[in-house]
Order: sequence, then C-alpha cells, then structure tokens
Amino acid sequence: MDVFDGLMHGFAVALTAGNLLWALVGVTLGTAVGVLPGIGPALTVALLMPLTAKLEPIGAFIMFGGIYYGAMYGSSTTSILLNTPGENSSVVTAIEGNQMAKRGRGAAALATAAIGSFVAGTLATFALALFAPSVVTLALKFGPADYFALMVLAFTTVAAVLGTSLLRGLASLFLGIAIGLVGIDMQTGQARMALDIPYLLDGIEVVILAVGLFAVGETLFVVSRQKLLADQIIPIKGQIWMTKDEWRRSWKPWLRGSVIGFPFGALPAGGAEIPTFLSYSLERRLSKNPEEFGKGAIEGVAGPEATNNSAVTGVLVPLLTLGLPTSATAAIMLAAFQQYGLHPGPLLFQSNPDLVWGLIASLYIGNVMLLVLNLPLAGVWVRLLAIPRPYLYAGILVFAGLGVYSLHASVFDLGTLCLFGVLGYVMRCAEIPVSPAILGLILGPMAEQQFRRALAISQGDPTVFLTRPISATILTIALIALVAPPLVEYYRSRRRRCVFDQASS
Amino acid sequence: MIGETERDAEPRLSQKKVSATVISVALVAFGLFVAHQGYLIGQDQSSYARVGPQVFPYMVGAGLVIVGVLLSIDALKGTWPVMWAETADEHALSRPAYWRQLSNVGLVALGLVVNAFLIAPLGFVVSSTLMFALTTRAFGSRRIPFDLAVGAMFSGFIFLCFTYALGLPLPSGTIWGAR
Repeated sequence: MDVFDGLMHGFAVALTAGNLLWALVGVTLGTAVGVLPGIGPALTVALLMPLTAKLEPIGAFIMFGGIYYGAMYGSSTTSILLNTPGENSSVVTAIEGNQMAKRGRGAAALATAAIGSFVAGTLATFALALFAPSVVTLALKFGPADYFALMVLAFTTVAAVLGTSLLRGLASLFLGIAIGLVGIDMQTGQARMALDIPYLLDGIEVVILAVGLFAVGETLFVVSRQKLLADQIIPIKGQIWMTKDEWRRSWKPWLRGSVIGFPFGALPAGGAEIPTFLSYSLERRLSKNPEEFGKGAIEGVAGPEATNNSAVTGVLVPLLTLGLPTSATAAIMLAAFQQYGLHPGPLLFQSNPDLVWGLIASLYIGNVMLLVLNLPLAGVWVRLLAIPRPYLYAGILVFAGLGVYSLHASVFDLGTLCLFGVLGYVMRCAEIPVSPAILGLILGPMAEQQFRRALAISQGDPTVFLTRPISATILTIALIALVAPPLVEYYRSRRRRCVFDQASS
Repeated sequence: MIGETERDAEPRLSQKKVSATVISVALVAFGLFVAHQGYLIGQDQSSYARVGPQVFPYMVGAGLVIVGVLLSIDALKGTWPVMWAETADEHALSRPAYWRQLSNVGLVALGLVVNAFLIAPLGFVVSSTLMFALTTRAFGSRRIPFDLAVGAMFSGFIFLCFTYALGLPLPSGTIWGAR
C-alpha cells in the first residue's frame, strides 16, 4: 500500500462518527489533564490509560493520539502561565512565554503556541506518513544484532541527554533495566529476581513504574518543599488575538521549528529537548531584535513550541515502524500497544493497516480539533490552574491509585506503587532523572531478547555486533554519544585552568 | 549570629554528603544483588541459545556497581547534594521546620498505604477519601471535615463514572455486604 492509499484508507477509518468522538474525547481530556501543574505528557497518558480499557484497539489508539497531542499542548499552557514546565522540552517555552504573560501578552503567547503546534503537527504528521513506509522497508532488513545496537543507542542518548549528569542518567537507566529483569525469562521460562513471590513472576508493569515515579514521587517531592514553591498564575489580560506584527514575527519560526523538530524526534536521539533549545538559539540569532529575548520575545515561544510538536510527532516514526520508544511518553504508548497484544514494528503496517493509518489520519484530525478547542477555550484551561495545591495533589493521588488498581484489581499493584513512589521521591531529591528508568524497563527486556537472539544466530560469537555494518555503525554513534560530552567537558575545563594559571602567574 | 550560621552550614554539608553516599552505596548493593540473582539461576545452561538468562543480570549488575562507585566519588566530593526536604528558612536543616516538612512526606506516604490496605475491605470511595484528606492535611489544609467531604464527592463521582459509564467496576467494599 503506498502512502496516498494508506492515508485515504486511514481517513476512511478515522472519519467515522465513533472514532471522531474518541479523538475529541482524547484531545479534551489530554489537554485538561496536561494543563494541571506537575502532570507532564507521560503521566497524562499513563493516568488516562484505564479509560480506554473497554474500547476496540483502533478507537483506543485514536483516543491515545488525541491524549498525546492534548497533553503536549496542555503542558505548554502551564509553562506559559505558571512558569512550571511539565517536561524538559517546555523549558524554553516557559522562559519566553512567562515573560510575555507578565507583559500582558499571555493570550498571544498561548495563540502562537497553539497555531505553531498546529502547523508543526500537521507538517510533521505528513512527514510521518511519507517516511514511515520507507523506514519499514529499511527495518525489514534489520537483524537482531542491529536491533540490539539501536536499543543501545536509544539507551545512551536517553541517559546522556535527559537530566544534568550522565552518571545519574545511567543509574536511572540501569535501575529500570534491572526492574525489567523481574519475572519469568521469556526464552527459558526460568524465574528471575522474583524472590519466590508469585506476584513478581508476571514482571512489573511500565504503567505502575511511570505513575509511581511521576505522580506519587512528584507529590512526595512537592510536599517536602511546599513552602518554597508558591507560584503565581498570571491572568490573561489585554488584547486576546495576536496582532499583525506578532503574526509576522511568528510564521517563520513555526516553519523553521517544524523542520528542526521532526528529524530529532524520528532518530533515536532522546526526544524533544535538544531541538527546542536549538530552535530557541536559532531564533535568537535570526531575530532583528535579539535584546528582546529573555524578556518575552514571541519568536522564542513560536519556534520552540513548533519544534516540540514536530519532534513528538517524529517520535512516532521509530515507535510505529521499529517498536522503539525514544521518550517516556512513547514508552507508555508502547506499553498500551502491548496491552492490546499488538507489537509495533515493520510487521504492524502489514498486519494492522487499519490501526496504523487510522492513527496517523486521526493525528491530523486531532490537530484541527486542538486548534479549534484551544483558541476559544484557553480561559477554561486557565481556571484549572487555579485549583489549590492540596486538592490538586490529593486528586492526582486518587487518580494514580485508580489508574494502577484498574489494571488488574490487585492490591499488590498498589503496594508496588507505594514503593515506586518512595523511589521516585528519592530520585527527585537526588536529582536523578526518572525518564531513563521508564525507558529502561520497557526497552530492557526487548534489548535482552535481541541480544540473545543475535548471539544464538552467531552461535555465541560476540563479534556479530561489530561485523554487521548496520549494527557497527549504530554502536559507534552510541559510543560517541556516551564518551564525547565528558571528553569535551574535560578539555574545556583543562583549557580554562590553563588560562587561569597563566592569568594568575 | 554569623558564628551560628557557620556552625549550621557545616552539618548541612556533611548531612547532604551522607545522603548522597548512602544512595550510591545502595546502588552498589542493588547491583550486587542483581548479579547474585543472576548467579542463582546457575551456569548449567547447556542450551543451544549459548547465552542463558544469567548474562543480562550480570551485565546490569556490573553496570549498577560501576555507576554506584563513580557516583560515590561525586558524593564524597560534595558535588552531588541531596536534600530530603527544604524549608523557606535557608538554615533550618535539623530544626523543627525541617522535620515538619519530612513528617508531611510521611503523612502522604501513610495515605498511600492506607489506600492500598483499605481499598478491598472498605471500597474505593472510603479508602480514596481517607487518602485524599491525609494528603490535603500534609499540604497544610486545616479544614479536615470539609476536605473529607470534597474527597468523598470526588471519589464518589469517579466511582459512578467508572462503574456505570465506562463499565469498569471499582471495589465497593467487602464489609458492606453487597458486592
């Protein structure tokens, strides 16, 4: 099926009344939950997962697509009006957007974010439809060794990119992989790390870890610092719509952002954080009035927001074609796929074209819905920000307990949730990023399977990873990603020390 | 006054160091545990697969040990501060305000445990309401009856939505008789 046929087929699936309704529900709920401070996109998707339990897979994934986009959009609203970015890729939006809001242009910041997300989302979805089939063709040539190399690359970039310290990122990643070892080994049927507890034989669900680390850990962290974190909501005032000048200054950053974001998302290179920073510095360099940056330049919202949306759409390329999640949110989406017994990868395009193309088509539709919904409803979302902190976090915990309990109606799951909550609190206090752990949990078992498969094919010869050109190349890139930043830092600090010595002597 | 601040600043730093060191030691210990679990599976895997189920635990365990050891250097150098709670008063560590913050963390955790234990016997609405009120209390709310009412309405609404609109029944509590 070529791209055009696929898309047409997808629209035929997505434009039925039922699926349109699910897309609308997904977009609305995603935005509403994503707006709440302290809830990022990954947690939004994890918390709303039980709602889809009774749906057909296609309806469920169309709703998920809506939740995914809605959550992204919702968290950018929060960062503009509250200056609390829900995720790393909204950090830049928070800088400029919050300054704009303080100058009374909050509405314009929200508008440029919404329209920029729409433009970027639409272009990136088109790119997704265009590129996915060729990636599938490529992916069919991949052997187990190549898949393993890809996963190693995803591991290293995630650990190196997310958070402040490579070591702490790796600690989080290894924790996640270790948790993924719990349960019955898929190839030999032996129990591992189960400590003779029957409950542990089934392994540990990604959703429990995600909700524990993000929702419960975050709540415990916030309560330990509550007096320090008094934030102010900036009311929307002034002219609601963007001025002509603001339009003129926005449209180029939207397009540039769309172009920057997509490849970063599509490569297994750690998601949307780096491209948003790239877009921000690019816009600052290209701007006629760079002195405005840091004080509320609209380009600094338009560019990074478009980039972010384009990158999160790009993330769906490796997720759908290779089954490879490259962000915490994508990891939870993958867990959702697995719950339906679906295994994303090149074969999914052949075995479930309805689902894949329906999902892609519904991303277009979701983008339109988001635009229609968010421009007039921004005021409603703002009111959600005004929920007092005690009720907000109490509500988050009730929802977290509900989400986890509804998986299997198991009290053990709730106990595990408590433990992971404490773990999340410790990690937050120690500034260990939590996203690598979530990716480690879902990717670890997959990586192990490919690793062992590759060695079984090569009859135990470990050089297989280095003799296949694809895997050798990918592993080299992974090594560079791991080693280069500390080396650069080392030389830079040495040079600084030399300069300092000369200056002092 | 200055003297007092300095005396406070010293234990603060060492306390942060101790916390960070404890975390890195815990990572090393967990790594050894993971490797030991791999060892327990045994080496007698003469299967055609060549690589048995014990290899990945060894690799992951080794990774955790190495990262833990390297992190302990950061911890001892003091470049990796770990704070369990912070208060508006900069020098309040090991003072009552600090412990009050930590006890609030404990209160939220208690709410979670209460919910886990009571959801089956007392049902979703009751256990969630208790957790809700404990959390609002930890976040500084003093209106306990009001918070209980809000929690009951919130969880009751969710209960009705899930049971009747979504067809996902939540536990209604075994001690109330009806199932």
